Formats: sequence, C-alpha cells, structure tokens
Amino acid sequence: MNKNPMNYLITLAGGAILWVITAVVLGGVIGDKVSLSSMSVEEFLARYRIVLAIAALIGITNSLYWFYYGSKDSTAGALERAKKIWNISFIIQIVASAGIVLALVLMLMTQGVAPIYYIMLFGLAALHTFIFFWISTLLMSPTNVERLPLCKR
Amino acid sequence: MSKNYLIGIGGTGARVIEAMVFMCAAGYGPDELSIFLVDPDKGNGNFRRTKELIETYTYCRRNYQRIDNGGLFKTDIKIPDPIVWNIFEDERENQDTTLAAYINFGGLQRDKADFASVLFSNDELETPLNKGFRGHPSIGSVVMSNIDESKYPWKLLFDDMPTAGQNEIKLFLVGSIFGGTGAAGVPTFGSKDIIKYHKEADLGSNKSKVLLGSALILPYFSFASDVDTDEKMFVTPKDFPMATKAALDYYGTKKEELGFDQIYFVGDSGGQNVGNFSAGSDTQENLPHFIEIVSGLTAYDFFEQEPVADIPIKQYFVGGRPEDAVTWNNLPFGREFDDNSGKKMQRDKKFKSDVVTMSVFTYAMCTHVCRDDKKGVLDTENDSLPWFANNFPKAARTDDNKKMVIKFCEFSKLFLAWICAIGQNERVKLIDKNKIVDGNILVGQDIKVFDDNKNGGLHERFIGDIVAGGGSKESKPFSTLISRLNDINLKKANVSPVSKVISAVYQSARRFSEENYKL
Repeated sequence: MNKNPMNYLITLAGGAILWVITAVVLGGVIGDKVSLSSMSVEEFLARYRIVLAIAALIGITNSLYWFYYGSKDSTAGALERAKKIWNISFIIQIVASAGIVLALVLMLMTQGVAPIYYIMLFGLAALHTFIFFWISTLLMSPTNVERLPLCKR
Repeated sequence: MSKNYLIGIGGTGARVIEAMVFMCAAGYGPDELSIFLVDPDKGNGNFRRTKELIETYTYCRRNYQRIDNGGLFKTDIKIPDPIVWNIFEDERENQDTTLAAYINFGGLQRDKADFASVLFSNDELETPLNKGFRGHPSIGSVVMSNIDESKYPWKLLFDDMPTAGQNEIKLFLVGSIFGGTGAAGVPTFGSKDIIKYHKEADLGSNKSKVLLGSALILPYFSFASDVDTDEKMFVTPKDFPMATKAALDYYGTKKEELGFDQIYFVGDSGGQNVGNFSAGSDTQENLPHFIEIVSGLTAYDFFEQEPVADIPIKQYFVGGRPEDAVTWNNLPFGREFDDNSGKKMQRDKKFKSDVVTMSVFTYAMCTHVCRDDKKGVLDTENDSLPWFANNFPKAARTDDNKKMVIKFCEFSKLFLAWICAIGQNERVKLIDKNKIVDGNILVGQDIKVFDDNKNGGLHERFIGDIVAGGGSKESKPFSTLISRLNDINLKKANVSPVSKVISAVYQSARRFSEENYKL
C-alpha cells in the first residue's frame, strides 16, 4: 500500500469519497437542519461544498507531495529535514482548516448560523486536511519516511 | 575434495596474507582456506597486523550467518594455534637465539666447526635471529628445514595428509626472494623432501598428495634506509637486486630438484616507498602495496584451478601490463592469457564487483552504522530509519550484539585503511582514497573517514565516485544507499540480529554498487 502509484491512487480515491460523504451526503442533512436568515439553502450548500473541496484539495495535495518527497532517494539521507517537513505540513493544515472555517464564518456572519455548525464545520475541515493527511501518511508513507508520521515515531 | 593451504613466510608473506584475507572478506577467495605464517620475528609489525586481522576476520565470520549467496566473509578461514611457526620457540626459551647456538657451534668437532666457519661469517653466527634472517637466507635455510609435523601450525597441514588423494592438498607458499625469511623459507619448504614428497605425502612414482605452488615476490617496494643503526646485519633496498639475481639463478638451476609444480613470479619496478628502515621487530611495519593484491590473485588462481589428475607438469607464470598505471583491467587475474577468455572476463568482473561492493559496504559501516563521533545509527539508535528499526529491533540491542556490530565496523575500518593505502600509490587506479579518507595514510595511524553527512557533505557526495579513474557522470549520493537499505527487511530471516544488520548493509551496498558503478 505504500508503493507508488498505489498510495497516490488510494489517497485520491479516499479524498474524493470522503468529500462525497461529507459534502454531498452530510451536506444534505446539514442543509435540511440549518436555519439561515436570508441565504437560500442551495447557496449555503454551494459555499459549504466549495469550502470542503478546498479543504480536501489541501489534504490530498499535502499527502501526495509527502509521498513524492518521501520516495526520493535523497530524503533517506535527511530524515531530520523530512520530519520537519511533515510537522510543518501538519501544522499548516491545522491553520488552514481553522482559516477555512473563519472564511465561512465571515461569509455566513449575517445568517445567524448556530455556533454548533461552525464547530461541526471545523471538524469536517480538519477531517479533510490534517486528519486525512495524518491517516494517509501513517498508512501509506514510502518506506524511507514510513516511521516519521505521528504515532509511528 | 581438495584442501587449500596458504603459508606466508616472512614480512612480505604476512602482507600477502593480509591482502588475501581482505579479498576473502570481499568474496574473492576459495570456499575454504587454511592459513599460517612462518616468521622468527614475533614482534614484526607486519606480522602482528596480519595476525590481528585474521583474528578479527574469524570473529566476524563466526558471528555472521549469511542470508543470500553474497560473497561477504565467504571463505572459511582455518587457523592453527599458534598461527605462526616461530622456528626457535621449541629450541630456546630466550629471544636471542643465534645460528651458533642453534647448531651448537661450540660443541662441534673441529673439522665441522671449521666447515661451518667457511659457510658462515662471525656476524652470521653470532647475530640474534629474533628479528629474522636480515637478508641472509643461508642462515634461515639451515634452521627452517626442521619442521615438526606433530606440532601446530604444521600439524594442521599434516593432519589432512592421510585422507587426501593425489594433488588434493593445494599448498601455496608466499614470500619474498630478496629478503631474509621469505628467501630462506620458500626454497626450503619447496625442496622435495620437506613437504612435496614427505613420507606422509609421497604416493610413489613421482606422485604426491600435495600440489605445490608458490608466489615468488621480486622487489616491489623501497624504504628510507639512510638511518644510523647499531645492527650488524640488515638488508636495505640496495641489496635487493643482487639478492634477487642470486635467488633467480638458484631457482633456474635447481628447478628439477625443487618440488614446486607451479610458480608465479610477481614484482614491480616502481619501487614505491612504504616506510622507514627497520631491521625487524615491531618497527617493521609497512604500508600495503598493490603487489600484495597481485600475489593474492595468484593464490586465488592456484586454488581455483581445475583438479590436476596426474603428475603435474611444472609451470611458471609471469604477467605484465602495457602501461604504468594499475587499473581494474590490467591486473593479472589468472593463467588465462587470452584476453577474450570467458574465465578471465568472469574473474575480471567478479574482482571489481567484489572489491567495489566491499569498499562501499565498509564505507557505509564506518560512516552510517558506527561513526567515530558516536553519531552513527548504532549509537543514536535512530528508529526513524526503517532498516534499523526493522532489522535491529530494541529487544535485540543487547550490549553483546552491539559489540559484535562494532567488531564488524573495526574490520571495515581495517579494510578501508588497506584499500586506501594501496590507492595512495598514484599509479594505482582502483579505489580513489581521496574520496574515502581525509589526508594521507601513515603506518600505524588511524584513518579519518569522511563522515560529514550534513547538507550534502563530502560523505554524501563521494560515495558514488570512489572508483578511481572511472567516475560516473551521474554518481549517486549516499542517501541512495540508505534508501536501498530501507527497502531491506529481514524480519523473517532465521538468522541472528547482528547478521540481519550486516546483511542489510551489505545487500544495499551491492545494489548501490550495481546501480552506480554498473557492475
């Protein structure tokens, strides 16, 4: 599972499936329940799905880059640097997921959306970004860097 | 099945055995080899170095279970205890045995004493022989003809005689013909009655259990000899030509009286300076020289020849190279003089492959596994490295196991020091020592292996370019080797953890060498 191109394909497929589940299936449930002052549900869902798509893109891109970087021979000789890159990538994604929610908060500020939805949105953004990245790299990192993700060190 | 014996006689013999042991470690040796040395000079630096090397080799081999059919420590080297025949040990307890004492000169009848005085000068009779025969082989030939087959190390050889068939004991003697001990020992042990047709070996009708070969080493080195000394008898490079001429005359005129079946003549006109003058003892320690590799190749050729069915035809072998430089292509790999011979090509390729792989392996051991600055994987226990965590898990990291790995690192350093010292001769284009060690290699001094692996340091860049005169344009860095290493998981192999570590590093070194050096 950690060999190229399997890890790339599984990550792409996993990211897409996760997006379908969270953006389409779960999005439909949220759309039914959320109360908005002036925005239509369709418009809300469109924004919600775009935001999650951006989050998924961030998670997938980071994972794919890690696979590419980890499979390079030169990485085997610079594991400290690789560890830093993983950590930075992980932290950037935490910040990104927070940023995504913040953007959504700004967009929906006038709509009176209950805070629980923002917490839920942060959870979903986190799932697409750093959690997705952590799980995919934990399971499918190339051999050279397979022991670098958190909980494998 | 034939048994292989290699006997190194004198300082040069010890140095050739050193080369042979390193070649065996690299995989270029017979499957089995029994080795011992002959030297009255117990403290000889070359001898001491070789003895320690053989002990380290046997330790490593004993603790290394091979997983694949790679050549690392392939040869089962057997050594007797003691490994050296000191000649005088049984005769006299003290270290100052003289020829006069040995032949009981004072107790001889008048006519015999007079005869001895004609044959030997006063200096020859009275000089202590604990530092060898000092360029006077006539003394050595007197004392070396009395071998005792009931005691080790000779017992090792004679124990195999009863069960051996014709020509099944391949015995190879190696020593210089221009010094003292070797010049005395090679023809003495080569004379028919001593070994070849010894009563245990003689099958009658000119048949023998022993196939006797020898590398006669002609002058190939020089040393600084402008040193004041109190010694009365010693040899200097100025004596080499005369001594060599006399020895060659002897072999030429006595060839039918000697028991040799095959002789290889080895020498080099370059006269590389290998150190300072010494009459003997611990100060006689010289840098390795490529001629010792050549002599090792002759021994390998002798041991690997097809079985000789009948009375061997006496043969001698000489080789030469068309250019001054010593390269992978012009070393004499064997008796196949036809350059298109498959066998020659095979050996040519195998030797390069084995030595380059061994160089990469030992380099990796010294720069990645155990480094002088204690930042090697073994010290830091870096579990981020999959190969280390998988093949040497925490439970296996006992003090004993770590000590064993360190012993392999010590052997690795010895190998690098040896191959780099040979590469220090600017005519030798085999392994580029400037890509492995910092500074010049000096006798008795530790080498400093390049180990800067930070920011693409020297060690990172040079590993792909250690083959002299043939660097690849796209040489791979050290991290490629680690990457190959990470791919090796021997968790399921049924061998000791130390063997897994060594095997993993060796397998990755081989893969790296094959990829980078197109072996």
